[in-house]
Amino acid sequence: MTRWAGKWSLERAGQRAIGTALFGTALLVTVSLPALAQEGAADAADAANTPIGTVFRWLNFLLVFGALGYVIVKYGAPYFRARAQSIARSIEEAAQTRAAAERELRETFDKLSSVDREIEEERRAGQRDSVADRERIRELTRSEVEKIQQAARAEIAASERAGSQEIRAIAAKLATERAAKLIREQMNTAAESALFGSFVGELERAAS
Amino acid sequence: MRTIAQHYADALAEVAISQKSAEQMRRELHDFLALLRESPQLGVLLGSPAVSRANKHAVAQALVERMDASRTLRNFLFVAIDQRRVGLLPEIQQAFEARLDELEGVARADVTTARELNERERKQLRTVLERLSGRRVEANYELDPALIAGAVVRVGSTIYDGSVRTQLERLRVKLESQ
Repeated sequence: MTRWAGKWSLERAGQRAIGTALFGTALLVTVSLPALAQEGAADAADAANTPIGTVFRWLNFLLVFGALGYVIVKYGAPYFRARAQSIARSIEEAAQTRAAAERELRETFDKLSSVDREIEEERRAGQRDSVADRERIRELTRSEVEKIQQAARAEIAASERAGSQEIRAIAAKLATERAAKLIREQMNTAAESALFGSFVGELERAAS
Repeated sequence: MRTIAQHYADALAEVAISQKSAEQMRRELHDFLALLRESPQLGVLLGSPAVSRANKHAVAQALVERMDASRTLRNFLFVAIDQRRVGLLPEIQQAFEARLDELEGVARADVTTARELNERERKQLRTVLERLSGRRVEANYELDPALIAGAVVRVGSTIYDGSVRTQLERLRVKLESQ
């Protein structure tokens, strides 16, 4: 269809060019006729005014006009045909370019419309990610706080144990020192002999 | 694993037992070691490779005569000098006494008390220790008021602790752990 339309437009352009050439030639002859008539009027007025002269004059005119038409048809037609083809190609290329541009325009519009959609999707995804990040950070913070609290509790418990142990150690040391002092104060020979006898008795029990 | 000092000590103990002069040899060796401790230069001289063997023998001979010691001790010192074992004499002495005690069936006990024990208490303790060790006990008594009361007895590597100080220390540990 497109090829047939291109061919038809090509023939139309050639015919239009030939018509334009013939019209220009006729116009030239019409304009030049009064001049030719005046030029011959001076020296051959008598012969030209005869019927035979008139016939020859018309024959001469036809010969010149025919030769001129032949030359125009012979050499002008290919030129104008080539010109028409060039113009047709230009028109075709322009049409293709236009079609491509329109296609690109449509694609651009499509993309623009999809850009809005993508922006909206991105915005929603961003919101979802933001919510997830907030939740994750909140959970992480809660976990860290719990760990810190556990560590603090453990440290406090350890400190309590250490303090309690230290107090017990001090109390035990003071108690035994006090006991040693009392035993020294109240120790006498009889008590020492009794203790020694008890020690020997333990050894005897171990030996038996 | 027996050490070099133990080999020398065993040989000397067997000779002393066979000559029935174990106590004399114990005393003579003890006196000679006390002499070496009092004059360290003497030990250096007897152990020095720069001094000839003959001179060392002469010195040992002179010391033995001055101590009025036996020929057995002199011969033992000659062997120690020739084998360059003078530096091992303190270890040899310890091993020798331990070997003699073993051969004679004697157990040595270190008894530490807060006060002086009377003879009855010493006999009572020695009897018990002999029953525990199965050997005749030679006890060495020492005083340590820090024990507060009671006694600490060491027989060989075994320690029997009946002191008030140790009982209080155990009480302190128990109070701490509660």
